[in-house]
Amino acid sequence: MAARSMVAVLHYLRRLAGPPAGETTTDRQLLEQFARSHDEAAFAELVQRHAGLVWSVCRRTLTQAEDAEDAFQATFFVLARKAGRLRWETNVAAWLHAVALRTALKARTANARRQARERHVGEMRRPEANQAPAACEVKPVLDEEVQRLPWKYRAPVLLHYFEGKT
Amino acid sequence: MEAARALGWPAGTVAARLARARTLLKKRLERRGVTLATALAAAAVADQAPAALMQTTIKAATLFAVGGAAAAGVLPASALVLTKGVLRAMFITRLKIATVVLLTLCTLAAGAGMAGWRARPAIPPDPDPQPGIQAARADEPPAEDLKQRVERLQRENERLNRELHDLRDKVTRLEHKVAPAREGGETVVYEGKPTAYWRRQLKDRSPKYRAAAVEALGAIAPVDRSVVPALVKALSDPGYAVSGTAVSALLALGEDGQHLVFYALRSGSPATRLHVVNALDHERLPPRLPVRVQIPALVRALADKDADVRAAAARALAGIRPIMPAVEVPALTGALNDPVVGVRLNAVQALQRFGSPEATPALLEALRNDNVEVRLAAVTALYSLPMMRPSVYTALVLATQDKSPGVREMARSTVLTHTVRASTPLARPTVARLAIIGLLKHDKNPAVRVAAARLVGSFPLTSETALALHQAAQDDSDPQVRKAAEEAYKHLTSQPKTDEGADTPAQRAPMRGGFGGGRAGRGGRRLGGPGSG
Repeated sequence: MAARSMVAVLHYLRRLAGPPAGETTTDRQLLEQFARSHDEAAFAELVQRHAGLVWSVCRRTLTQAEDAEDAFQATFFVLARKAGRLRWETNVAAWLHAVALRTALKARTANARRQARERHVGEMRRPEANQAPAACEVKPVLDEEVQRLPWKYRAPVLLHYFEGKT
Repeated sequence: MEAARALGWPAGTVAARLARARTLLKKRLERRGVTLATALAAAAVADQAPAALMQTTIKAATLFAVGGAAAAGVLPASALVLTKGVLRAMFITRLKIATVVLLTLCTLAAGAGMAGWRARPAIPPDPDPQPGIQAARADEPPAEDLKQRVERLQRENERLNRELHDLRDKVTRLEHKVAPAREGGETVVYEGKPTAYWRRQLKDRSPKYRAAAVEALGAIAPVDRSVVPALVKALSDPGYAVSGTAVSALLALGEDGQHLVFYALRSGSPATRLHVVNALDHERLPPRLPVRVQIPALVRALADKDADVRAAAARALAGIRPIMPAVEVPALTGALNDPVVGVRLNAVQALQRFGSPEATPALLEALRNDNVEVRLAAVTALYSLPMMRPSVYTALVLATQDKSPGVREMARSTVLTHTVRASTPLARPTVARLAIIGLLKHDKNPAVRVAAARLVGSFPLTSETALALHQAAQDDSDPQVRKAAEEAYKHLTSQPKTDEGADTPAQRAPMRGGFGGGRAGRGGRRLGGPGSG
């Protein structure tokens, strides 16, 4: 226990002292740190870094803000759960984008299904629900196409266009 | 630079890959009808993640990582359900990957085993007496070793096979477990019957039942997109009712469905294309289908390879009531030259339905078509135009000299009707007058000339009207026409003169054969024409 908190303190100090080589700790380091010590600060840093990306994917895929919030949280829950169980790249933007898209799509199908149960299908001949999916179907096109790119292309695209890195 | 640092790649690599990615993305997005700029703009619109959401997410995620299920009471239930769903899906994906990896390993192991087994007889059973070769083989495992290795590999292979079998079982079990949650648990029901029932009905021998099934699947499709392929397949159903219902159902699905229908229209078999076109006919469409979907599809079908498809498309277009957008005119004009008469006729009718000024030039073009029927249809179409314009009059007057008597007759009655229809003599456009004068001078039918003479008599007095009547009264071959012209002339000259600049008709009278008066667009002063010299 003592050793663990010691590690946390050391990490904290190291972050305070500023990164040695130019910028910051990599995503991988943050995740390792979080997996080791459940360090909230490390996770907070990860959320800060990639919130924009994840949020934009959720927002594009889901029309309702509440649904987008659920998907946003779920994406980071998955990251938290997987932190110690995967071998991470230096940067997790690509992974997060994939998970966020998958989560958001899952939320959308779940929504559609729920709506279907709530309104009995038998009665509605031409459901007016048509328009909502059609309208938001256009937006995830970019996300889907980005997903189809090979990783080595996907990562720079995500950092450049989605996270605004130069 | 930031990106390069975040990824741990050299800046040049990042730039090159970014450029390549951009090209790829651009190409693929354009294939889906989206430009990269639009897509990126749409991406940029998304607002910032709410700060409060980020805070709760950080706290909750930490809790989740530490406590897992124990924290469930504190965490938002909806997000947790989602998380579990995603985690499970990821687990299944990993199992599938593991299965593939294992399969590959097994194949490799089996291959190695075989190779080892085959390699065995190649080694002589007794040690080679020659020391040189013996030395060369020193680092190779002896036969006994190889045998053991093969056995070991075979054992390994068996073990892996068992493991693979177990894993497959596990995957199947898990999928069974997931499947009801995905479909069975919340079955979509139409008229009390589940999707599976309707899918079966789709195989019925009677088109009636198949059509009912398509209708049911169409109602289910917005909720459960997995039935869409069945609908697409139904597009090629031999029963018209079935394929028609399928088209309606797909079109009702919004843009996705529309793309599928258009695709069928482009790439389906001739029979499928014909079915789709027929289904696009106005009567059978879902009520809310916008014309902007229907018309481009039909116009595209006007260029189909198959004559039946083209004819059906033209027929459907001719039946469309709402005003068509002007962009479709060129396609219809093109169809005026179709080798199939039916296509041409319907194209003319479609142009007539337009009711908008854009269609008129195309109809006038059709007046010059080689085919009698097309010309006739064009004249008929012009007859029902609400308002006559000078160019139309001119063309119609020319059409009164058509080779075909039917066209001539129709053109005449059109010109006369429209002139009479105009409310007051003064409101009648000058060009209409010129057209009537043209009829008076050149029409071969004396009755028409008589009617024209009377009409001209009701016009305001100008040098042209007076001259034309004067000439007709003197020179017409038919006594009745001469008489009518005479009367009209008297009537006309009893009115006050309106054409201030012109000379009196009497002075002009010697200019026989002055032809130009009848032509539309000529000014009154150039009345003399070729004979005036």
